[in-house]
Amino acid sequence: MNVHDTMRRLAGHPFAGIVAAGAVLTAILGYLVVDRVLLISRGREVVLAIRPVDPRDLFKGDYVRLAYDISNLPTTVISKEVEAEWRARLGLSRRPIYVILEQQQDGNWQPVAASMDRPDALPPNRVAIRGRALNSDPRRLRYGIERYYVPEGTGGRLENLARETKLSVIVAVDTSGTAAIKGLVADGKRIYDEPLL
Amino acid sequence: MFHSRNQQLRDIERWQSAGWIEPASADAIRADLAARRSGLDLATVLGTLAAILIGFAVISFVAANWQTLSKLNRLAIIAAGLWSFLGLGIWLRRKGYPGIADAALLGAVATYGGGIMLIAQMYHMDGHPPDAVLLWAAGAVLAGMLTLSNPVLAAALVLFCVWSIMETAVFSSRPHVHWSFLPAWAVVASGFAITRWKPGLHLLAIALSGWIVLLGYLIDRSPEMYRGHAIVTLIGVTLAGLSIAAGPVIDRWRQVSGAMLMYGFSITFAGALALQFIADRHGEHTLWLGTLTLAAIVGALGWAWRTDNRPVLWLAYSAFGIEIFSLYLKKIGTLLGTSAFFGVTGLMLAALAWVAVRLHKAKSDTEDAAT
Repeated sequence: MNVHDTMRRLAGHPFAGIVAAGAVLTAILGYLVVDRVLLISRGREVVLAIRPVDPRDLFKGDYVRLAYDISNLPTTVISKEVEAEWRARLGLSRRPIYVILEQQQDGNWQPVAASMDRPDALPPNRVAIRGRALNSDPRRLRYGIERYYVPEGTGGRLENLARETKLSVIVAVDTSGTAAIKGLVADGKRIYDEPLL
Repeated sequence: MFHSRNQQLRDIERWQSAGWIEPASADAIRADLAARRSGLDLATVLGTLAAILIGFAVISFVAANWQTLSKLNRLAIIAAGLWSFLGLGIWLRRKGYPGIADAALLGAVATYGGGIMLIAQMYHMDGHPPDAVLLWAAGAVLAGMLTLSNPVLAAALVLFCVWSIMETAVFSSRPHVHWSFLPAWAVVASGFAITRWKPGLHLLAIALSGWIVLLGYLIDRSPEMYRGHAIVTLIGVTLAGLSIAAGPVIDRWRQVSGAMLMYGFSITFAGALALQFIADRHGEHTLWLGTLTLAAIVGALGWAWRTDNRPVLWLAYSAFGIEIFSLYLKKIGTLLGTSAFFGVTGLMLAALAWVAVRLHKAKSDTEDAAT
């Protein structure tokens, strides 16, 4: 009996195929959630300064688009050597760039260097965050933390807050450099913590 | 195959009154036709539309209502929606409504897609958008294989196409050939190979043809892209040529030579159009490319007529119209040159028609002589 016959018999059964399909789909969704929960609960905490603006998304309701200080990097961070290396590997256009952040006296984190390979053995006051170039400019990066979803029609509140206070985002970063939004800081005070579940 | 049901019923009526078939045989044929029609009934169509609407309702609900419920509750709603659709699918299959059961499974896959978006929203994920579509498509194709549900497999193929277009054109710093589409296509194809659903095979062929035609615009880095479109044309000609040269051999394996000619012809014509009117911007090669294209169209017309391949016949008629109109707009040199070109090709076709009439007459004369 070959694979086709096995599959036909499985699908011919009113339960087995459908239940298996349900298990697979539920497992994928479950994996997505567990992956994020682990990243947020176990990742290193990094505080990044932002400047928000508000567009709309067709599928995901309202969100605030967050522009970070590290979204546009100076040549002192992305050196000419890193840029040349990035351009040489442009064929693999989604190749990431690792930006190394260093904690300052005020608690905020500032970019100090960048590399095409994931740096290991960083000192405790440094963290590597993984970004991808937006276009053909390796100094304009996205880190996957640029959208902050808010209840429909309340995006303006966060914008006002950003105008009146110095707003920062608490980001969790894991050892692979993946980042996730964990909470908000206004004028150095933690005003919101994202619930895990 | 292309006759409507009413046409078939009229034919049976005619054959019966002519005395070619017995009333009992006519009834048996009518009963067979009625039984074979159950494949796509109104309930299935409405059920499928309902599943799509409910799927969108779930997605909009998620988008609108997201902070009044805790994350866990939101996840519970998605899981409940997913398993309700699956339960409905099981129940409908057991009750003997496989068509509506497929609609319920489609609803489950739509809810799963909503779940991906919900989770992305809950955790403020802002990754590479095509990745979310790929995850949706991968779940859909797995579900389609496990349940052998044709609509779910078709939805997976559509999602893979959306993913490929996003990767190629929308979310790419520069357009490139999206090779990863091919393995994804092959996975869906293996699903349809098991179910042997004819519309599914056509969907596969359409998706692959589209990918091949786009190849002409993506594979060649030169500004004119002659080479790219030539490759596309060559792939089309090879397919059509294989179908013409080895039709009976192919049909002994699977009845696909007719469809092969149809897609081969379409790819060839898409490539030829791009060569003539996009690559050859200044009309340097219009004369010979146009002549060759028209000859190929007429050849396809003749072959389709001989083998009674109606889809290719209609495609060739349309291609002929499009080609003539495009040539007219582009002009062969001057307007006078265009007129001369159309005049000469028209006369050549008229001569061909005359030869066809003579051949037909000669054939019927010999047949008359034989009887």
